[in-house]
Amino acid sequence: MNKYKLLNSTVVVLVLLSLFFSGVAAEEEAKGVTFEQPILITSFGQSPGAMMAKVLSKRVDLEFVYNPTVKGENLEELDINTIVAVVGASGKGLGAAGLDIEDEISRVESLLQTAEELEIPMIIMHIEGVQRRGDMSNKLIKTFVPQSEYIIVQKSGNDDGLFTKLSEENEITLEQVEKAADAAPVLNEIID
Amino acid sequence: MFHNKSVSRKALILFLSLTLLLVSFYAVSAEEHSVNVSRVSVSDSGVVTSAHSLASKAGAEILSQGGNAVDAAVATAFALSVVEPYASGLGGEGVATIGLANGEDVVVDYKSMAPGHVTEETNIDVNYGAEGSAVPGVVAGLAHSLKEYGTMELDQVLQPAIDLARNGFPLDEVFHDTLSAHGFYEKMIDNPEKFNLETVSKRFLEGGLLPEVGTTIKNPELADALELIAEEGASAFYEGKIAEAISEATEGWIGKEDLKKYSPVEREPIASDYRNYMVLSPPPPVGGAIVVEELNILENFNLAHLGRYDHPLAVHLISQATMLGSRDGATFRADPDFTDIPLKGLASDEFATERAKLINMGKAMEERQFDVPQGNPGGFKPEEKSKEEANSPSTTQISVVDEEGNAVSMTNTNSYFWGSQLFVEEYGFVLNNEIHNFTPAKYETLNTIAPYKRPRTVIAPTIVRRNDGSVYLVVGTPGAGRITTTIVETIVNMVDFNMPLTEAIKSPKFTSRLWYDELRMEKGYPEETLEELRNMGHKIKLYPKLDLYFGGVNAVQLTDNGLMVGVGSYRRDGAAATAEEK
Repeated sequence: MNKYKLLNSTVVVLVLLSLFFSGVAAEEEAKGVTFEQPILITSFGQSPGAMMAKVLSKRVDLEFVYNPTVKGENLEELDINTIVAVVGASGKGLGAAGLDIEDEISRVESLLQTAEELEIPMIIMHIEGVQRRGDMSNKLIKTFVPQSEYIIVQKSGNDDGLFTKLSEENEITLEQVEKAADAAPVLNEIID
Repeated sequence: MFHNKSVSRKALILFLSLTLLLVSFYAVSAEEHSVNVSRVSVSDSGVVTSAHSLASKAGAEILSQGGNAVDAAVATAFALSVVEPYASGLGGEGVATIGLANGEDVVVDYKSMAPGHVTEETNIDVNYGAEGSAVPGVVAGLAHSLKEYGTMELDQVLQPAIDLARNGFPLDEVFHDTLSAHGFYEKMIDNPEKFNLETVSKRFLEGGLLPEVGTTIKNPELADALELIAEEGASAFYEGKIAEAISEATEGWIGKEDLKKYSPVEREPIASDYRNYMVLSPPPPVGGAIVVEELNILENFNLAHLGRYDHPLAVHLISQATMLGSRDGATFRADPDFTDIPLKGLASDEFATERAKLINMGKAMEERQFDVPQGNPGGFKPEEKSKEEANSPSTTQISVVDEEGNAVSMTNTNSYFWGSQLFVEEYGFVLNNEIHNFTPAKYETLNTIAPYKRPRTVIAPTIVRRNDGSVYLVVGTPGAGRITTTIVETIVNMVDFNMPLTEAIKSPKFTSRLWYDELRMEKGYPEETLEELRNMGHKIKLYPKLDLYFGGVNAVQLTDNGLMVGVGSYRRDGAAATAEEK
């Protein structure tokens, strides 16, 4: 009897989850935005979060191109259908890429301009938590999150509600996850 | 009955007294083994400072158990190899300046050395993988220091490190951030086989993701290595199972014969008077001679008269002195066992005065790079060109003073954070990437690679004594090319500007070196100072905050009233731990 109860509960949870995710997907589709593979995984700020997104994408078998410093002029040749940008500034990462924060902002602006011309939608992720919320990261978040079509944020990175505020102001769907690893099923669900 | 009661009462009193005695005994014992850890700690019975609170604590526990400064420094260094494996460890190298309470001073040089098979044609421009690695010196150097100047056995001082590696420790922000330094995270994900990172990626990552701060990190393979060393001594590393594993991991680049041949070298510190203090710093192949030369140059100017560290003229004079010091350091710094270096000339007041004459009080040297005029401290033919050394602000500093007044200033490094990124997988440690610190043969410098030669670096663990011989300051820092300027500025802040150690460390720093086209400065200097410096012709590059780029000083000051003030780095979450009074 207990086994049946457990089975029933599991089925109910699975149905609810699938309804939830299909609802989310439907919501995006209703806005005319669909996220399709292959995706470009890139960084806005050169933190290691982009590499984490690569690991997450591998977990759910997404077809991707990984290029944390991609430029607008190279976007077309990559032949991708969605940009997954992990936002988070790292002084070390920027230094290693030979960039300062202003260079990085220029690079991203040019990338997004080309993306708009090519009608490539963007999912923005912030998955390194509150530690990746310094002044430089905040500048990137405030500048570029409003230009995205979907936001995935790890809970502690949204402690102050900045992502919620940007999401509401710009009518962008926001998915808050408990842990970085929880972003993988979300990516899997929203990207066809 | 009454009698019996009386006996019972006496027995009870005796029992309670014994209990109290036992309780107080254990309380004292507990107190003996307890330590205080914070950014700044004050004590009269010993202080340990390092880049990590758990490592400082390990050292202070050794002091509490009756160990001396050398015992504590060695314990701290091994603990750092666990909690800060990116900055130093068994596969790295270092130098210790030891100042004993009896006035004896010695430098233990356990720099890495090139393997025996290298030639002048060997490509030194390799940072990652086996060919970037030199024969490690840390284990031999720490074991030697302990045996000659410590009081404890290896197994005692290794125990805190073994416990940390075996039982785990919480991942801190610096470790978390450094996991991605120099592409290490990417290599763990993309190239784990090539760099022997399969095991370590399981230890340091969570399912391939960077773990959250606070996650417990264990390194049982490193615990095995430390236990082997505790049981068998340094020979386990240089001749035993670990030697075999190193040779295998590097596919023979570092051979078993190379490891067997390694030994630390004792050297005499360079000693020079600076405004009635005696500065003791290690000779080449590291940077102590530069520190001494730069201070000697500055002694030609009345800095105290300027009143404050951020006075534009103070910054200008120090920047010019450190520019000249770096010029001479580029020439006269190499393995002294392979060449004659005019050390006496470099450390002499006469030479410093000659160099000081080149400084224009109101104008920055226009020439940069190798146009800065070369000094000639001993009729030594100068080289024409060289190359800049490593710029990674890796490396780690330990400063210790014990109750007796023994002092240790120790700087250890893997060169870059995560060194060559090549792990000796079965023993959980990374090998250094020191080979790139040799200078290409085409430049014909003293620092050309040769078999068993030690590459030069700029580390400079320093001790400053008062006129009466007592220790005044134990200081050192990581920070690659900024090491010598940061040490000089810290000493000047204290000696010339009478700043307390906390402020001397915390105040903004700048660096001016041969290889930099501009004066690089941390934020915090007054706008008028910056303006005046620009008027003098300095090009200024500002860093927006206190930055690890400028080092991470960990230091201990002994005050005139006998107190020991330990300060951990403000730029790298350093900590000072004190031994509880007995």
